[in-house]
Amino acid sequence: MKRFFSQSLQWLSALMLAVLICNGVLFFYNRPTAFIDRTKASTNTIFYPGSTMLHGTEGHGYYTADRNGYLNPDLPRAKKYAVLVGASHTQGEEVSAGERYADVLNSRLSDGSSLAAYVCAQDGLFLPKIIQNFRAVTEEFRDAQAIVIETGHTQYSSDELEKAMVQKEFDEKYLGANIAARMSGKEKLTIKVKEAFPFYTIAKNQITAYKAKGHEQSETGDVDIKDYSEKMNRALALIRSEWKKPLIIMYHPTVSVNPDGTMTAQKEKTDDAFKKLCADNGIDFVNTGSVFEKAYRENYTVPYGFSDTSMGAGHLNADGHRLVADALYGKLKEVLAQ
Amino acid sequence: MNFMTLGFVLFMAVLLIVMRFCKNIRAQHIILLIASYVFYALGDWRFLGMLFAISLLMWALGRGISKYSGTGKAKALLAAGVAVDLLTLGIFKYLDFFAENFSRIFGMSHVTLKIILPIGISFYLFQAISYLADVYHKRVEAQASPLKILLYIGFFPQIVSGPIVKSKDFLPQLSKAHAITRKNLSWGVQKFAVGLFKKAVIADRLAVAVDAVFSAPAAYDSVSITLAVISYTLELYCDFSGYSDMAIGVAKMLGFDLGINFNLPFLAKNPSDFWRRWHISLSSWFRDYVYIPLGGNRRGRLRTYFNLFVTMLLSGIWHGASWTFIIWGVCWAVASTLHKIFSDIRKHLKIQSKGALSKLSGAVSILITFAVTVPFFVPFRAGNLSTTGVIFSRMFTSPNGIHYISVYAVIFMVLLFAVNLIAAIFNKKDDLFRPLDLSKWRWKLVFCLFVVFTFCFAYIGNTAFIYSQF
Repeated sequence: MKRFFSQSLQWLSALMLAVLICNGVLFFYNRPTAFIDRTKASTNTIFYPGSTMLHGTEGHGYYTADRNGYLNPDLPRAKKYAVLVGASHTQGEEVSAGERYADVLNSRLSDGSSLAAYVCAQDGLFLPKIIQNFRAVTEEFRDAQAIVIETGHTQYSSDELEKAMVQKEFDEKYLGANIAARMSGKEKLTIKVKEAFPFYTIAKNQITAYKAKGHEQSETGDVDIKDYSEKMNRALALIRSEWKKPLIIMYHPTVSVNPDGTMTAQKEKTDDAFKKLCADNGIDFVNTGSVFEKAYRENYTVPYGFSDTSMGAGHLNADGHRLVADALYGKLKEVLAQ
Repeated sequence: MNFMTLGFVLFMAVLLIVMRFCKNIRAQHIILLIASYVFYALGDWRFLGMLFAISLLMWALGRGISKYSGTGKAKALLAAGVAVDLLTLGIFKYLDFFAENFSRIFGMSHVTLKIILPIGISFYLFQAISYLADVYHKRVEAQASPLKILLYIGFFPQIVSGPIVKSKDFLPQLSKAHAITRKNLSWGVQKFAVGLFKKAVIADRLAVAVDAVFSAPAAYDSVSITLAVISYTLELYCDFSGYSDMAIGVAKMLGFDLGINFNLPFLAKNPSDFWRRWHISLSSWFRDYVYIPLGGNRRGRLRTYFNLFVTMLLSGIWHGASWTFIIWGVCWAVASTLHKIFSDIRKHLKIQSKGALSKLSGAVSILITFAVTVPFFVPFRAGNLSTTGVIFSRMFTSPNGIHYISVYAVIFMVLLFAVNLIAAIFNKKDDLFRPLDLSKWRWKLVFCLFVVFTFCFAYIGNTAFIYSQF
């Protein structure tokens, strides 16, 4: 019994120390930061202001959250700026600072002392959620010259579009700086502990991935174009009515590297309908698909993928971000000059 | 069920507890047999009956061979048993291929029979043949009870993807009770952990890079393709040897020794040496049950080359019903035969290098063998002749394309190179696995570190073992 107890204690202490050592290694590999949930604001979560994160599971990036909890350089917003609303592609953790399309646009549009392109993004903030939060975006960024919405798809379900019509209100107390100021010592400590323990996030991700194995989502099925067009039109008309200044939707389709050596931008069944609906509602629509295909034909540039994953899948890489910036630059320059 | 699931961990935990308290040999065999059949059924229950029937038939034939030993009847029974096994394998594995090609050659409408391949059939039928041949040659006694044969053929650690254990190596282990000992558990768990690391961390991650390039080789430049081809060789090695390690580890926990299936194949100096280090259980099976019965090297030089060629060709065909596997088999057959011819010439001319020259020629031989082995695996992975052709043409020219250097491919190449170098210098080119003494705290820490790192860096994606498709 004594031996059993002694051996158990040894195993437990060895395991704990092993986890601590592994945690130390993960500090240099992948160290996400804690995020804070919120309701009445542009995004459903923000990062803790001032926190740093290292992303290494796909590409590589190191960022610090600004006072508002978004990933922007520590600079004030320019007098005339555009707010870039989107999901993880806009957040751009997978590429180094300076390589995101927001950063490339800033290098071209501003003099370096302020931000002409301001990122307001969050993992998983897809188009229906952006629409749902849109009123809050217009309130938080009422001084912006333009809003750019990033989306990787045009096809969404009826349910998602219905839910998007219920607009979230905006409350200033949910701004990042205000949330941080109100946080209790215990809440701040919890965040610091989570940041100091990247092993916890990696372990959680591994377990989630293991459970999800074999239940991968299939491709979106058939869509009723008529029903889709009606619901999407209502949604786009709603956001158009809430923002009178320039509104751009930037669509970056996925790509497929084909066995014959070509690369094609994937076309969703709703792409044509979506483009028409944007035009009908006075929303500028930028589709980067042709830009991607042209870059590939010229020098085999693939906009997605990294050396630690595979090419053609996943998030926008540095080349992809540059191409997106190229596609947006002309329009934004014109808008910000007005 | 596969080894890399929580369900399997639970399954093993229950089995070990039950075996721990069961001392009676027969009871242990029954428990293991039930466990093996449950394991198989959880994979695919539809062919459980066939596994049972084949095993029972082999038992009966074995009894007959033993009864008529020394007579023509024994030989006839052996031939009948082997024919049943090969016919079963032929129907399930090769009939679709033949039907497809037959209809193509004779311009008939395309026929696809869509025959499902039972799990482990290529492995357990070879074990069945092994039993009959060993009884015939009196290497083992025919078993009075069918229980041992059912267990031998259906033993769950190796039924899905080997190792192929010969009956003369396995059946004697069934004559004594198996205690669940701390030493076996420690050895087995550590072997399993090493296998899991090779599979989940190395092989599955390399697969991402390899799949991307092999699915569209016409898009990638020659550097990317060359790296993918080398990566595939490493992926296959880590996947298959990883699985073998897990199988061997599981068996060891239960007190069984399944032998060794891989022994640093990238340190091979020539094709024959390669097959003494790669999938050892398969190559030794073909040596004992094909090459030697054909006459081996005892019927003159030309007949030796012929026997070697046929053995290697059949070994290639065993892997699958596809022209790419046949080509792969032909490549190895030619390489092995040429090496044999070259060795004979050297022996005849008494050419021998000594001292530093011997070491240098050894190192060069290893590099050349590796350089020859890697392209041989291209048709193995490509799946069809067209893709194989594209890969080879783009590998050796310098076309433009996507430049993709997988960082993990580079890391794992360096790691495997280091392991092989250490083994070559310090361990006489033998496998480096040495179980840690887990009674000491520092080795507990090392083991825990290994397991925790494996957990963090495992690629949780497609875990289908490559060799389970054979």
